[in-house]
Amino acid sequence: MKQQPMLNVQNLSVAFHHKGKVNTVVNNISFSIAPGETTAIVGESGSGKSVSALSILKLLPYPKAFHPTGHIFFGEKDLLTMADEDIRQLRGGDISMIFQEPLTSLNPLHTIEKQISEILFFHEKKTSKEIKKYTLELLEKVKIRDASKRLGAYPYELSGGERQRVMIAMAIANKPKLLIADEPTTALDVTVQAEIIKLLMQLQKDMGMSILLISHDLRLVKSVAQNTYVMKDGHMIESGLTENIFKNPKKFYTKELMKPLPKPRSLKEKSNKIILNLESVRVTFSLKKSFFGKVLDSYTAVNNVSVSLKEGHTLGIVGESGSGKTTLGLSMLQMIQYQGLISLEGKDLKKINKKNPRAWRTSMQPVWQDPYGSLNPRMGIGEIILEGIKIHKKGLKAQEYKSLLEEILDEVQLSSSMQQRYPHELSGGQRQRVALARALILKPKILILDEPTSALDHTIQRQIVKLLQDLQEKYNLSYVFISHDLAVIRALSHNVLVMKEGYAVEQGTVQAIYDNPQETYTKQLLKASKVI
Amino acid sequence: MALSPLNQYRWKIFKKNKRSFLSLRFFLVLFGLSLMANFIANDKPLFVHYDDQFYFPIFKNYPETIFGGDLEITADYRDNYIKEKIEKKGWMIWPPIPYNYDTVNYNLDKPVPSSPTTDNWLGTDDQGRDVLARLIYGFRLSVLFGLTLTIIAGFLGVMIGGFQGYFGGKFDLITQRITEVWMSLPLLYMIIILTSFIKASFWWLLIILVFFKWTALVFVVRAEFLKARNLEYVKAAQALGAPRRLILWRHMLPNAMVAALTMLPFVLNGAITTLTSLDFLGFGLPPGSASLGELLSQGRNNIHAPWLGISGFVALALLMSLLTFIGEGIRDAFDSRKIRKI
Repeated sequence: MKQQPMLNVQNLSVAFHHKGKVNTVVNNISFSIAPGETTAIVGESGSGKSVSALSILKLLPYPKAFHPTGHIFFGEKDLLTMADEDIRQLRGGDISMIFQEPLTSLNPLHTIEKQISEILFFHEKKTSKEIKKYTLELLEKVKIRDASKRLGAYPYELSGGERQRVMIAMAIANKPKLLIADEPTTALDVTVQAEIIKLLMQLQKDMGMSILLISHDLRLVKSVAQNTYVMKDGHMIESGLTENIFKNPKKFYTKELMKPLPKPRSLKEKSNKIILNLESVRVTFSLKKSFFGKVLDSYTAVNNVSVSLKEGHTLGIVGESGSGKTTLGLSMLQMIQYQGLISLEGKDLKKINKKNPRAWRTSMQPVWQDPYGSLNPRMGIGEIILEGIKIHKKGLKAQEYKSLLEEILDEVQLSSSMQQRYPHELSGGQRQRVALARALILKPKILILDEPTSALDHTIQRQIVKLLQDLQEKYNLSYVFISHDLAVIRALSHNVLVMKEGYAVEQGTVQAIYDNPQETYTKQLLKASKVI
Repeated sequence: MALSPLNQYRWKIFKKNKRSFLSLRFFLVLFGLSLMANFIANDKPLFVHYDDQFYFPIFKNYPETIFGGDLEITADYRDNYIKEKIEKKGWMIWPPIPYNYDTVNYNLDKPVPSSPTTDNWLGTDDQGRDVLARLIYGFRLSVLFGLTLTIIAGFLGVMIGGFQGYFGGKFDLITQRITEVWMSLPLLYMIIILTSFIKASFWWLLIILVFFKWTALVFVVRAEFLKARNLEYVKAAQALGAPRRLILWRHMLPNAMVAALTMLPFVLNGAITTLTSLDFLGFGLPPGSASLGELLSQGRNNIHAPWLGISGFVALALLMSLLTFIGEGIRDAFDSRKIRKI
């Protein structure tokens, strides 16, 4: 390294006192950040990357947390031995931080002007007139539209992207030398992510600050960071120039991280049988009703969507938050009121459901996003998986249920000892397999998969995608795969439907959509996901 | 029945809270003892050995004539005449406190209320009845009354709150308004009015109080059910085709029960307080029954006999504190934030 590093972390360890024991989460890590550069720490959940970043500003719950070893040199000073008063001066001054969740990091009760100027008051003693002017300048710098009109806005009036811009404005208010960005784009839509990253890079160039980027997103790191450190289970396992790491990863784990999602599989047998057909499906929510039930104001979540799913195929539904993709999935499952026609193997599902609301459920099953919320924490895994089959196939012998259960556990690659466990003892990936097993045991023809991989780490995501591909091939299953993640959609889908604000913007085969998009919105989406 | 791991974990958290666990044990001991009140404080001996035969006066009434008395009436073992007769041909064992809650001690050498002596450990009240015996029976009555009231009111509250939360919409809206109006009725005055034309007895009082106390849990349970409707595992059960009663019973009720259970010790506390205040005002249980409220009111009327007020206060304060500490422990044990950390 040619320059003197701006931040130099040496042999840092972080440990927590937990129930009388010491729990070490970060082990002897060292890294440094040069002025004006972007350094990234990459790792999956639980790798200790956020804890390491938080210890720079001593934002951990001390004295429960402590540092058995290490120094953090910022210039000449060791931040770990610094007095609390001095650290407070640094926070939001020379070092500032932005967090993942822009909704909870802003105080909902104060206007954005008040929240930004607060930081200026703490650090630079100026007159209130100057502060107002400077606040406006900051908002313009982070490119908030109509900045002068938005000064008095409350956080709820802003979109997710705008909130993150306000957070950035607050972070750069005192011209920091180092900006720590902890998963700054994870909670945002892809198109917004690209804009925020562009903004950060622009600001870095203008202000000459260093950025420490904490992320699990390799595409993001690859495109912005000069140096990359890879963390796993509290250890720094690899470090170097980003280029070198991506071109030539040395450690097995880094290679695993870099591995792309499995390639899409070509269909073995081309069936033209349409299994699920939607004709101008429309879902409206009434926002306001009179006492007698007259709808006074309503919101259309899905607007005239027609699409069909062929047997053994996967239909990918892509869209950003609020596009109505989840609502469309719920309407297929008959779990929400809709207008229009949804037919299963040529028969109107609404009618079937009215006649017998139970029997047809064996042919269509959902798997949802949240692996924590979708399993009843009070039930054992075996009970959870068998719940459906006990409703639809009553009166089997205990032994028969047991063999069904073991068969399905094997199918989703869980060991049969899992059946006695409870959801909280399982990891995210394992839980998602349980949710899959619960659906599969009914031998459905269609699976509605609503973001089943978005809450999972990259390596786990890859395993689940592969499992889904295998199962589809084996049982000729049809999938409706709902996601915001274009890479996962590409790996699994044969046909793609792009949704925006309730409308079907574009649909076609996966090749047509990815290689030759027609609509501007589709192009935007694809571009955004490639930029990052 | 084996506890599920979740409940085992909750039990562990509860036990860790030393104050709550100690309170629970202490309360169970006191409650157990008070359930056996008839063997601890009674005006009949535990056994009588007379003429080579055993008698158990607590379980069975024997006429005086068996022990050589003259009349066909139930033997009064505290009567010196009968005592002498029995002791001549045998012996008897008395409970540690030889008074029932309504036994009047006629052998006092002081005017009532008399101060504590070796015979009456906490003195007597203004009708010459032993205070300690009345405390033990009063404790039992209060706790049993509170428990019955809490169970019935809790059951009703969970049912009504559950239906409100599950069905939502107009049913919820209308029943909610009714509940609110109902809750704002002044409980004490209503009961005073009602008891003026109903002869108050244990069961009547219970029915009237259930009438007003069922609202205690409705709001919490309703909120839990509303929340549970949108839980993913409830939706998953719907998608599996699970019938409504199964979803309600298996997936939604346990959630609501956590909230309800957390509230129960405090509802129990409130029930006991209400009973005591009614007794204190003289609108509660029929005159003569052992009640803590009546003891307190005697304490107020006889300031010169502080043992009345002090023993009533200590007993009530102890009971309330124990229940509150137990409630705190339960609340912590069911705290989902703590559960999630496992």
